[in-house]
Amino acid sequence: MNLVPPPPSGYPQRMVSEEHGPLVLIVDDFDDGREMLQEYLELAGFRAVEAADGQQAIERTLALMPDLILMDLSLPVIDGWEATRRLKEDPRTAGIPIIALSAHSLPDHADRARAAGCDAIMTKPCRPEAVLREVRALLATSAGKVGA
Amino acid sequence: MNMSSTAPIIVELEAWLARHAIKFRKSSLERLPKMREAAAAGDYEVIRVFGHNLRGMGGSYGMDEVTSIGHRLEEHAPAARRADILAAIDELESLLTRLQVVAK
Repeated sequence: MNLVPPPPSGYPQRMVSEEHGPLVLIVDDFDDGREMLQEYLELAGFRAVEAADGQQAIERTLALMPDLILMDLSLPVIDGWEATRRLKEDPRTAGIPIIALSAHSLPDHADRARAAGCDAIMTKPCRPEAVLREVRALLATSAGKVGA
Repeated sequence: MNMSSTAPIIVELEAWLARHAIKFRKSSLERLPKMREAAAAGDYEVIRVFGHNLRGMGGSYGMDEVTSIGHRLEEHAPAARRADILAAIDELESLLTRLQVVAK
């Protein structure tokens, strides 16, 4: 696990080089959302890769073993709930933190996301700064568990 | 945002975010003819997904009214409320046309 960059002050603050920053997989079927988050996370010193559906998310996770996954829930092919469930059931990927990032605001959707194994849930729309804070917090927690 | 009916709506964002917001505005406008076609054809799932994505992204760019219209589209689509859908699309077109994204 790499160092977690510090909290931002306005513009995202870079601490680690893109070559060594934590790798985040952004899963969203909406191009605009993926690209915006990818740029923001890269400005903040992370590396970021994308997947456009749940099947791609599983394949890219197995291939790249990201440090964290930002998972939209309404996805084609395999939805985000099912993709999360499969990743959390697989011992190779079970330890990767997953943040559900969805425009669904109903409690039922959040409950299902938790049941699937999501470590945190954020409701869209949300500013990229808020996503970055959650990513950093979860990575810090995850690093603490690894180090314990 | 200034929401009076004719005034330009100025959204001021950091330069990097403004680039994405401009692209989002353009791509959303470009999708509207297909949404009207979908409403005419009764293909409401396409409209629901479009509304869902608008709802998810509008607020990220400081365009709360876009999020609100997206929410309405997402609700009208499963109920096949064609007139309400077309009214929301018209409102969205007017809103996006007046919207000007400015980099700080």
